[in-house]
This record gives sequence, C-alpha cells and structure tokens, in this order.
Amino acid sequence: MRRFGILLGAVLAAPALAAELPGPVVDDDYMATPQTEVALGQLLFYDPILSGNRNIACASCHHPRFGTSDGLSLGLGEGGIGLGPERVLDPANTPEERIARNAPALWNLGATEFTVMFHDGRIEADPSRPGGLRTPMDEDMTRGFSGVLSAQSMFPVLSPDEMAGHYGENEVSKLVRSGKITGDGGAWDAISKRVAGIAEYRAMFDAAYPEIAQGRAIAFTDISNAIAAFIAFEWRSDDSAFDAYLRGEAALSAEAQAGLELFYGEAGCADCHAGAFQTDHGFHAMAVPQIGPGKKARFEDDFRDLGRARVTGHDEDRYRFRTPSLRNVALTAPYGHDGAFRDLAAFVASHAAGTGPEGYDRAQAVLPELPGETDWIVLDDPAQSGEIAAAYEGPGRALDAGEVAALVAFLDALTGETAAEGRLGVPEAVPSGLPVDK
Amino acid sequence: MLRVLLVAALPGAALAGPAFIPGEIPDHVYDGGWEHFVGGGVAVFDCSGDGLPEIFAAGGENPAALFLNASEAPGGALRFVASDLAPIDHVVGAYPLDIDSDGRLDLAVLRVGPNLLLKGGPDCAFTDATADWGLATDDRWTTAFSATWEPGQDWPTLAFGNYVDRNDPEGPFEACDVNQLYRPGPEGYGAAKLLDPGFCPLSILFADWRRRGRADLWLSNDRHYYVRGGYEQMYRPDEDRFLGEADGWDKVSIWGMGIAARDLNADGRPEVMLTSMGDQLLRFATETGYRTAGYETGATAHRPYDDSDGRPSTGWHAAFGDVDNDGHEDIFIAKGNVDQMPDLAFHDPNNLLMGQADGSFVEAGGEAGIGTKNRSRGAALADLNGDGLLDLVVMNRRAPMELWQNATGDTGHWVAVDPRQTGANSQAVGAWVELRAGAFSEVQERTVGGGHAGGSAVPMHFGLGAEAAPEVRVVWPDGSATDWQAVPLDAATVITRDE
Repeated sequence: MRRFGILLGAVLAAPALAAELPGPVVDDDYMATPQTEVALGQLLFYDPILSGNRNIACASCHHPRFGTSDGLSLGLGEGGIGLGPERVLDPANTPEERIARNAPALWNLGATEFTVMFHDGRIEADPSRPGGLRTPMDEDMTRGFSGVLSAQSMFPVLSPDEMAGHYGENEVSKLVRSGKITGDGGAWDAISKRVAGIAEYRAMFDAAYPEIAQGRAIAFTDISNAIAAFIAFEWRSDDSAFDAYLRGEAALSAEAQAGLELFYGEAGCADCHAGAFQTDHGFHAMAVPQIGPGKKARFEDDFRDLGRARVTGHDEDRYRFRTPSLRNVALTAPYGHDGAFRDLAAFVASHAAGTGPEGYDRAQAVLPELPGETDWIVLDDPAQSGEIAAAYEGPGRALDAGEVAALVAFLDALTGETAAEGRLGVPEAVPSGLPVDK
Repeated sequence: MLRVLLVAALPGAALAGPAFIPGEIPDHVYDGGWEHFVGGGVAVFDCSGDGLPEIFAAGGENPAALFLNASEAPGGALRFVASDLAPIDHVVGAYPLDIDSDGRLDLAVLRVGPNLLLKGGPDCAFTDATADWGLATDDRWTTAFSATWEPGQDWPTLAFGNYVDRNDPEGPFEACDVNQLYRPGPEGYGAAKLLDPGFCPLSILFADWRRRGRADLWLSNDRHYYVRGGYEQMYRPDEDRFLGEADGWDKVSIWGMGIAARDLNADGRPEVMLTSMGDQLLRFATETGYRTAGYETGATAHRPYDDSDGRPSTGWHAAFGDVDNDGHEDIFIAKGNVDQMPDLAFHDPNNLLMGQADGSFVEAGGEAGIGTKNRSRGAALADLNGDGLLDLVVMNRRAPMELWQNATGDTGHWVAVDPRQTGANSQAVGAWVELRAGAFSEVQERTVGGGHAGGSAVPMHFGLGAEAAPEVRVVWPDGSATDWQAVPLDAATVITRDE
C-alpha cells in the first residue's frame, strides 16, 4: 500500500543539495525470488533445526517484531532464552559471552547492490577471488550458493556463540571446533542431513530445485539459497514516504523535507549514506563507543573490535565498520555496530559530531544481564577509547536539537509498511516441530 | 599495541637482509583427515655419512619419505633426491637420536597408531627395532616426543606425548590421552609409565631448564582440546612429579603447538618460544620463573604481517638460529590454519624474526622470500650444504613441502660444534656447549625433542658477527667439562670425549 495516493504530475522542485538525490528504486534493482524457494526459505528461517543445539533460529536474532534485528545492543545467541529485549540467560546453559556485534537488519538485501555482508564486510563480492567472493573460508569455500546473501547465511550456523553451540555440546559444535566445515562429514553437511531427514522439507526442496528432485542430495548451499530468497522477498522495502517522494508521487512532510535537505546537504550524511538505500557499502570509522566482549577469538585476551581491519589486516581500517542501509532504521534500534545507542536522536547527534566515547551515557545500551560480563572494559580504558575517538572520519558537525529532529523525521520517512508488516510473516509451525519464536 | 614496529636499519648494521632461494626436492605433501590436522614433522640428520644432513618427512595419509642430500658442499645448490624407504603410513613426525649408541642415528617415528623405533644402518638403511628394543606400543595418537639420558643410563629415557583419546565416546573435546615415559631396563624398554593427567601436548622437550644438572620435561599443551583445567606442564622424572607453584611453575594455558629453547641473554638459562594461536609466546627465563615478552619485543607474530588478513595466526614449529650469522639469534615460526577454522587466517605467512642488537626482533619473512602462506607444520633450520648458513625446510599440510637455501649476503662469522662421546649417548645429548669470542658469548644445550613433531641432529651452530677468535668449552652430560679451546673460524668442529 502506498502511503500517498495522490500522484503528483510534476517532478517536485528540488532544493539545492550538496549530494544528488538517488533515482527511485525499481524492480530491476532486486534479485529474482521464485516462490517455491521463498516458501521453503521462510520455514528454514524460523526453524531452530539449523542450530547445533536445535534451540536458535535465524529469527531468534532477526525477528520482524524487532525490525529484523533483536532489539538488543548485543544479543545472546547460544545460551539465551526468549525473544528481543526479553531474551535472558538460560541458567542451564549460561553463555560465556555476548555476541560481539549488533544483529544487523535484513531490509532490501535482495537488492543486487548489496554485495558486502556483516559489519566488517567479511563476506563480499570480489571477482579477483575463486568463486567471485571473499569469505572467511577463502578458497575452501563451498560452491553453489546463489550470491553474497546466500553465502552470508552459511556463517552464523558455524559460530559457537550464535547458533552452533560450544565444545562437545552437539555434533555441529564438535565439527566446527575441530575445523571440519566443508565436504562430507563437515558441519554444513551435518546440518543439511538434519534437514534432509524431514519429509516435509524434502518435498519442498524437490519442488524448489529440479536437481534435488532428480536425486541430488540437499546441500547447505540449497538451504542458504532458499533462506536468501526468503529474505530478499520478505523484506524488500521500497514503499516508504521517501520512495514515493523519489518517484514523484508525494511530498515529504515539512520536517522530513528539512531533514532530507540536511541529509543530502550540509550535514554530510549522504557522503557515506549514499544511494537509494543510504549506503555506499563502504567502511568508515565513526567512533561509536565500544561495548561488550569485542570481536576476538577465545584465545585472545583483549576486548577490542578493530572492525574492518580484522578482515583486511590494514591498519588504516581499524575501527571502520560498514555503512548500514538506513531503510526502516526507525524500527531497528539500538544503533551502531555494537548497538551502543537505544535512541536514534542521541545516536544521530553523536554520530554526526564524532563525540565518540566522550560523554557516552551507558544507559543507552540495551543488554540482557550477564554475570561476570566485561561490557565496559574498552570504554573504561582511556587509551583504547582515545584510539577509537581519534579514528573518527565522519563529518564532525555538532547538530542543534532542531537539526537532529529534522534528520530523525527524515529517517522516519524511510520506513516502508509492506516489509515492516512482512509479506509471509511468521509461520505457525515449522517442519521440524521445534518451537517457533512468534 | 598492534602498531608495526619500525624497521629502520640500525646504523652500522649489515645492509643485506636475509635471503633464501628455493632448493630442489621431490614433491611431498603431508595430508589426511582430522588426525593429520596436526603433525607433519621433519627429521634432519646425516644417515649417509657424508656430513650433509638428510630429511625424513612425515606424510600423514601419504607414505613418509626420506630424501637424500645430493647437494655439493660447501655452498652448492640444495638438491635432495628420493630414497627407497619402505612405506610407512600415518606418520605424524620423527626425531633423530642414537638410541643404541652405535654411533649411527636412529629415528623415533610418531604415528597415529603404534610408534616405531627405526635403527639406522649404513647408507641410510633403516630396520624396525621397536620389538628388539622392547618398546611396548599401542594404538594412541602420538604427537610429541623427547628423550634424555638419565644419569648412569646407557640408553635414553623416551617420552611420547599423546593427543586426543580417540576411543573416548564423549570426545574429542576434554578427552586428552595420557602421556608415556619409557625407561630402559634389562629387557629393553617394556611397558610405559603413564604421565597423568595429559593435556593434549603437541610438543614436549627434555632440557635442563633449571641448570640443576639434569633434564625436566616441558609439555606444551593444546587448550583447543583440553578446553579447561589444563596448563603447560613441567615433569621432573627423577622425582616423578609435575612441578607446581611452589617450584615457581605458573600454570599458563595456551594453544601449545611447538617449543624452541635457546639462551638469548647469556645468563645460562634457556629462553623458550612457545607457538600458539594468536600471540606466540617468547618467555624469558628468570631466577624465579618465566616472564612473557611484551609486544615491544617484536616476537608475538600474532597475525599475518603482510597486511593481507586481519585474523590471528596459527603457529606450529618454532626454531632458533642465527640466519645471518650476525651474532643475534633469529626465530623461524611455521604458520598455517589448522584446516578450516574461519576465525583464523587462512593464508598465514611463515615468520622469520631477525634478532636485533637491543634484544628485539624484526619480521623479515617476506623480504627473505620464505613468507609462504601454506598450512605449514613442521620445519627445520639447519645447514644443509656445509656453508655455515642455516637453510630451511618446511612441511606443509595440503601443499608440497618447501626447501630453502640460505643465500644471505654479508653474513658474519660462524662455527659449528658437534660434541660426541665414544660410549653411551654418542651425540652427548644433555651437553652444554659454551662459546666465547671477544665480547660475544653464548651457550647452547644439545637436546632431542620440541619443535612441532620433528627435530634435527646436526652440529650446533653459532653465529659470531665480526668476532673472529672463538673458543669453546663443553660441559658433558655428567657435568664434567673440557678446558676452553680455540676452534677454527667458519668451520665445523667435532669435539669428542673419550671414555
């Protein structure tokens, strides 16, 4: 449903802007989403069978009730119970750490311009590499996925803290920790065999993929391709007020218009939040205060998150994170790569000014209680927080309250109703019979 | 903390950096499934009697190989040729030592399954002497080995380190096997004494760490499989106990993969390089224990230095040696992903850390040409063509092994010392060679063990820099010592103790 029914006959008078406005979003911007794949992907997305301990689905941390995220600064994967801000520790299976980064939203990932996944871009299209993709598996990466969105879906299931579970808890966690991922008997194969053991899924795979109907075994790439098709279909979001504006169908509210003019003008937001989806798909150091355990392996004893540098090994990439799309941003709180800000206006002000850790209000974090957690170690270390602040490469512009309000009004105009409500929605049940997070 | 150290040359330092060129060796790959994710050791020793070392290379699911040294000495191009070694499968690694003191080096061969003791014969012929020498073997997964001659013994005490107990149905995590100590008896070795608890060692080394006149056994243990509750162990064989906090032994937990020992500061106590995941640990021996060197020492080698990947490194074999003979010990570390551990670098270049006058280290693996990015495992730094420059052999998982000839220019003086005894313990394992030359001094202990799944039995190499009047003293395993004696410059000297 279009929010504005009045078709304006003329292109709206464009204000003088520093950055050009993008063209409107069109169908050709998106990948194809065959409905047999989408229907299958929906069930897989909500089915905890993909997690090692059969207790976490993709939807556990990417739920439509929370803007395809989880409403938390830093989530709890393995070892958590409940959904969104109600997620609490499982006393029988207490997690060792929070997830290191905020669960990213899934809007418009079916648009083909999205070729960089995760906050640090550790999966990205790269024609110079075998398979046309750079992933953490390098040339060992399995082939047969449809694109970066599908390849992305192959990694949360391997993360002990997210979905796989730890140590000897289950066959998947054992395989992952042993370093056995690809091929027969690897972690992906073990998950695929679970799915293939369910008749309802087998029938859906037969319907979606002719080769499987003809006898090829279900591979994890088929699972991830179906999930990718579902994400692309379900959360395509291009019917916001801003879309109508770009199509020349409706004007923005006066305050949103003022925000747009700041956004594409002197506030400099569009330098990075460029294009129809407000992202250059690049990496920038924005001095968001570092909270939580940091992005590290168990054998590392620091609490840093070096962001993009963890992928590239380039010192200049330290503390840079991928520019997120701002579509439906009003629905995806908290904000920042580690979700340090629950309030969008507070985040916008800090982000634009580059105040960094200085003066950060810890009440902005939304963190389930986790005894013994070490959430503030980097924040409490002036040297590390100073490095983060010094790395800032944003506009460095202090906004007044009116400007912040205008920008937030513009960001509100990026919310699209259809995707926010969902197309297929949450299924009543999944073929494994495991409980579905409603 | 991760800032790249400055690499500006010190005034007056040799301008030429280390340089290596490929040598010629037949294709050989260490390969196999999970049980060969670790291992892949090489043994470097002379079995042909020509003074140039051969290379025994583990193969995992491929047969082990013995490559004969066909290089022209001194200084000719490195060339190794295949031999007709009888096929041995599931070899993890091997260590050369003269078990029966007949003057020929034998091999302790570590396997997934029964280990082997191969008796060395003429012209690199080996016969299986496991049963003759009474070693009771079993089906464990052996990943580490070391040996020492305990006082009064004609035969060495052998220690085998075992990894995961594959028969534990709850495994493989928190399922470490026990380790084994074999002492010689009138009927040979017999059954093992079990060293319990085991924490999945990937390297063990008998050395006289405390300079008390006899060796203790360092077991470097892999936390990846013991998970929790384990730590680095030090076993004292004569007291049949593990050292504890009362002995100044701190219970450090690391992902231990390899041990190298060398006294870096001429205080007579060997420093230790422990390889691991992420930070590698160079630990300085002090009066009271060990102190881990900080980042400023430049030896952590924690991530790929070529700025190609920000994920942490995985370290395996470590070896000390003075690659440019400037009088400062350097460190080689083999690197490579276990197999598919996506949180760690997949293209992980091997390190060559060049020792500096101030005691720090500077990475030179890339410029030296040896910074290859395979899944490296075992390795050896040894002079393979008799020119006094340490060459390099590197074993890789899933990629051919590498042979590198040291072609560094502007190198300093050197000597090699080969202590020998005519009775038991022909290689004088446990001897300390002390060298002094002008202001320079260094001590080295003759040991068997450490590294990752392989070791060398070759003359002990000392780089001297500009010093040109070296003198040597040998403290024999029983504590008696030679007088100081001048040794020829830029040459190898055998010093034999007559019984």
